[in-house]
Amino acid sequence: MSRAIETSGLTKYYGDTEGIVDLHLAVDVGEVFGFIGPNGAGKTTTIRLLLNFLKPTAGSASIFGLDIDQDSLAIRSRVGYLPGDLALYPSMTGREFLLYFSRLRGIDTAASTVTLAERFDLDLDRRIKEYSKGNRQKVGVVNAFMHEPELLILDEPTGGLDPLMQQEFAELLAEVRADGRTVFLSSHYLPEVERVADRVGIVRQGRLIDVDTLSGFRSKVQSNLSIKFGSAVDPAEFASIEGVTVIDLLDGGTLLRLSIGGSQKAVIATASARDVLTITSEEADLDEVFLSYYGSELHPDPPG
Amino acid sequence: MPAILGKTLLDRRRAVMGYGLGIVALSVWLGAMFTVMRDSDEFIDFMNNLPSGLLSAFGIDSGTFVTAAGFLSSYLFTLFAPLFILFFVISAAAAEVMAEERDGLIDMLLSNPVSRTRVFLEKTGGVALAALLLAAVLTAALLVVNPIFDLSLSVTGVLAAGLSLWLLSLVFASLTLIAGTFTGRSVMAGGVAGSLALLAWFINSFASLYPALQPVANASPFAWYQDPNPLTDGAGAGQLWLAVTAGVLLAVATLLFRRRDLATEMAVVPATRAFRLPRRRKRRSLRAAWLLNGSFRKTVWDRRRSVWGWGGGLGFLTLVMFSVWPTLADDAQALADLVTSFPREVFAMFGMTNPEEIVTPAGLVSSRTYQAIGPILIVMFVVRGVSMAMVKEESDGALDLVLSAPSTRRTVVLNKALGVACSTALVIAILTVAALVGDLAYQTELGVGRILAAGAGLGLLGLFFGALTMAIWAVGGSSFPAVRVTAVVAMATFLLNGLGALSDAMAPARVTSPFYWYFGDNPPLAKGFEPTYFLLLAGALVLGWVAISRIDRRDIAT
Repeated sequence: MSRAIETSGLTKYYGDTEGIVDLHLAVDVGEVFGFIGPNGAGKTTTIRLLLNFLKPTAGSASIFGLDIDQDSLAIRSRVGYLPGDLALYPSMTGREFLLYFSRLRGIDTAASTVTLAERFDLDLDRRIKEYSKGNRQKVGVVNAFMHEPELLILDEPTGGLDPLMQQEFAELLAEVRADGRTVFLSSHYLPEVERVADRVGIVRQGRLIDVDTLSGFRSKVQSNLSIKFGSAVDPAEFASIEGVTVIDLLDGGTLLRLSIGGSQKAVIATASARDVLTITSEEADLDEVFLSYYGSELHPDPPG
Repeated sequence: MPAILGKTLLDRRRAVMGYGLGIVALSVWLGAMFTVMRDSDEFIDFMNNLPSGLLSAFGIDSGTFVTAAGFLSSYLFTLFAPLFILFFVISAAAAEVMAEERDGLIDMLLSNPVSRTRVFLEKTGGVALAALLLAAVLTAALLVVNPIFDLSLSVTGVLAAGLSLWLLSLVFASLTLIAGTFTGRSVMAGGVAGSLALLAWFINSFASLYPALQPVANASPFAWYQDPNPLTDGAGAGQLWLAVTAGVLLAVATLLFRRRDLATEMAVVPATRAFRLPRRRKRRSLRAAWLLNGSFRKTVWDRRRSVWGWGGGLGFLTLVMFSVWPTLADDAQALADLVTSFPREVFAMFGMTNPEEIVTPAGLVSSRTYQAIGPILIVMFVVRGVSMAMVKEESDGALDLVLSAPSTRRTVVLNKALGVACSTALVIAILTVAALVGDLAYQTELGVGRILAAGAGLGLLGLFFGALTMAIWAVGGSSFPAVRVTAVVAMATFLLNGLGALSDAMAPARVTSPFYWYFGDNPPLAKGFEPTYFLLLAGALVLGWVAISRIDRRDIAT
């Protein structure tokens, strides 16, 4: 499968301050890639490097095989961008702004502009300074999508959108993926990513910590199982399964509580060979996984 | 038309109209002034017999001053027109490139498939075209005024002068862009380019009085700008130099812009300044401790650079004027005779009905600092202060945040107003110190009292217009162009004072002009604290009170 984004050792320092350090990342064409991390982790720096707003201190990156510095113009004609801190010309109307930007692209986007504006319930004929924050964000969304780019680079795209519009936005992303186009979605807000992303990269303090699919991350979670048996069982039989720890055995050996890292499959297979009455799973929230990556004080050593 | 260039022009249309109006008014004013002068035979005779070089301290070339071309060269083309057009291009270039970069708008533009070079050159081109429009307005105004006042200007001369002015503006626009792309900050861009322009103008204007400056003066764009004097001799080598310099500077700016990391407000400081970070952080925490004590302190702090810049400029100018005095004192009698031969109306337009005063130190220093440039600069300083601290904070939404704290609107606005007033007082203080030093060093014996009084008058004039801006803003609301209206009122009352001195019909109206209250009929340094200064004070207080009482009753917009 061909790469939409590929970075190799991409590094940006602002003087002594780390922006992003030694980033190796590959995003395939057609996937929705979530790039998440706390504020100041280096997400926006990475995006601004990809768009050639910043020049890398070291390393390189390519988009659709084109060099981000040398071929930036060709790249930008294939990319739609929504910045995290959206800047618009306040004295223009939404329509004027979008017209101006479509002229800079050299293409006519009148039809898709109108369709998108209707879809997001945006009145294009008011001045941008009169828009609410959410409406401003909608102008940014329309601007990023109106030319049907092959790659969308979105920095915290749903900020300011109400839940209905967030839903609409998620559907839009689903359509983009169905078209085989690629999305690079940066956020510090997990649900925004969880709803749409195929794979997720976690970045913290300028470093990429882990990349995996959402189910991959889920499988890294410690989940707890309580199994009620009709008769007493031998806990050693379960303790020998890889990744399984027996918490305790209650009710005269008939209620077994286990902590499982990874798949529950082997546990369930073993249990079903016995006299199982009920299985209660308490799966840890995905939030907790990501929190464990985020906060160094809560969890000094990130799992995985 | 290319899209970015078109948008840049469109964005500048109001500024072009405003500055254009000012330029037209100036041309008419100076044309009228010249006709009054020309009709005085006594004056013409005298001028022709004057030792040359004597008047250069007033920017007057005695050889050609009696022709319209000479008169306009010294007043319009070396003083007012560059002031207008440079202020315009420097602020426009800083706003289009540096301020948009800071706001993240350049990021937005560049997310489209357009090259940095194109964005940069189209924006610069837009500013250059707008400046060309202004130069064209001036040229057209002169061509219209020419037959009306019978000025006998040559058409090619006027066109060449317009061209030369435009090229001069391009040099400083390019300098603005270099300073901005180097530092990445719009404030620095405007500050550096503005200071360079002021310095270049100083060196060129005073080179004839200080032979030591002569070699340096040849490096000043202002020297090329008038060599040959385009109004009389058409364009030549100097204008070519300006064009080449502007081109080279622009190429450097373009290269710098292509290579730089675009800095938005949220991005971290650029690498070039990072080595200062630890010290900066310490300074920042000290600053925070001081600032967190309310709107008054914050307003004063925010204006600190302007205080140094504007105060320093005025103070420097004052010292230079004092230093000129001993040279002139030797020829005082000749000068006095000349001045008595001047039509009195000409002096009255600058607020001097006793022209003999100009040959006193008080008159000389007043003529530049306290009368020609001082009032314009101080009014601009105060109005800008009010605009930044109130008008702009409201439209940015920062005022919302300030008002979300439990303090009344009146308190906040009053504190901000006092902050602006305090920074104005600081500017005046710097000027006053410079004047006191000059007075001592050159033994002009003006005395502390008169210097303090003149400073007070100048400051009060500024505060009057600052309070006017506040009142218009408070009554009219955030969408009402308070600053522009103030600028128009200031210009109109300035002209009213000048023209009122010329025509008997307008003389009664003249007393309503705040500029008349300040200028009066004598040089400010000569007269001490005038009762009319109380009018300025009362006006400022009343307008300030109107603003503070009205702000409570209207909606705060963002």
